[in-house]
Amino acid sequence: MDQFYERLAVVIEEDSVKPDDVLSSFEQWDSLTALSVIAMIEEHYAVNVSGEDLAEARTAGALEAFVAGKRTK
Amino acid sequence: MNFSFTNKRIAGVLTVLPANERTFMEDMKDFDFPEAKSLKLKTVMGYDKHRIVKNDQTCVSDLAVHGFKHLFERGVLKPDDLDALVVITQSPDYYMPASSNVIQGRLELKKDMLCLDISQGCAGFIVGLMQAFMMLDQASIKKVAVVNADVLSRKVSRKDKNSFPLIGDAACITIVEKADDGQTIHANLKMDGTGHEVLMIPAGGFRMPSTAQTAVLEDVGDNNFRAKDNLTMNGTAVFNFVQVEVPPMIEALLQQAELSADNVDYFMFHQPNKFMLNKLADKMKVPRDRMPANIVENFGNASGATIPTNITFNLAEQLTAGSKKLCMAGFGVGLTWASLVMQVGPLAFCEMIDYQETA
Repeated sequence: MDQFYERLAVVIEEDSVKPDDVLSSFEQWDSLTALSVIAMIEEHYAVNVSGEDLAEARTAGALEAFVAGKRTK
Repeated sequence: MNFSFTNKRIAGVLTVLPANERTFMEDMKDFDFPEAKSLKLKTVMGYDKHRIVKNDQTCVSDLAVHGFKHLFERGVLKPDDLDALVVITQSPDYYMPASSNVIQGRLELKKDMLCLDISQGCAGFIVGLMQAFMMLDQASIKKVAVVNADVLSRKVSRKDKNSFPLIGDAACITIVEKADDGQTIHANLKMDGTGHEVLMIPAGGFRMPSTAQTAVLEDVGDNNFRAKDNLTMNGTAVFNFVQVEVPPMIEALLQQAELSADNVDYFMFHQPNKFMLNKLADKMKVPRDRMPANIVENFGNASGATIPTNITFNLAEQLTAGSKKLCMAGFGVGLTWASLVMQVGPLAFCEMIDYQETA
């Protein structure tokens, strides 16, 4: 999961993102940013994430774990 | 409801696009939206460039007449062979008469002809084909021109980032004729008029005539500005409707036709945006390369013209040289969702041309 947090930070328009950060707490978080995160994950990690998956993950770390889990399947 | 037709074929498809191209980077300048967010929109939705008329005098009949003249000059269609002209549009030249009559007159086509306008949008290619197939059951009708044409960019606010970056203008001419190949064409269609406000142009009809007030841009939230005269789309409602209704519709169609998804060479769907189509393909477990999604990024979404544009842009070589099993589907205004599966090709013509506006 090379560069996951760096890529996430670019999409969310933050300098850095840490595993414990709650996604919906970011200033720029909105439906478009959520879609952009889904698109970023698809492009770089070839994993399909639904809106529900994203909401359930809640934190950046949980999202990273979800994507990593799907990749190893 | 289900439909079936026998011994009909598509003879050729032509797409006419306004030569005027606009890029999303230009569109962005009119939005009241941070640049970083606009660029996200571009990436996610797959916006890049689109073809729209630049002149507010350019009409559906201008694009269509240009296309017919091209076909007559190329010798792939004879004017006298046409027995019916079906025009599917929601941006007609006039309230009255019908745009099909305007086109018939401008081309000086024969009088022994049935001209018919249909008010349909994104499902307009399927509805038009079905109408043409029904007409071809008459002995006197041997060849029908189905014209899907719209210049709806003229009704979209440039400050509405929900609709402007994706809108396109185009006219497509599809020639449909009798065949003796014994092929049964399967189709299905459903409508839900309780959703008639999901996609609409509120003012300008008889319910709410256009006035100075209806032309005023209003802040409609989410940094978008549009007037009552403009096209409005509830994007979330459309997205949800498509994801819920389209996969079961295709499943039912294939069942009716006794086909599996593997028997279909290409899923040629209406083109709302890349994101929505890729999600549909994933949901239907169809490989994305068998459901092209590149029309909005290249030309924009020209309502009922997107399926024939998709065919001429992506399958021209394959369909002039040979034949493919196509599953086509349109979904949108009405609400309407319709699909059709048939063998298409070899076609006498399958091409795209530009229309240069004079002024």
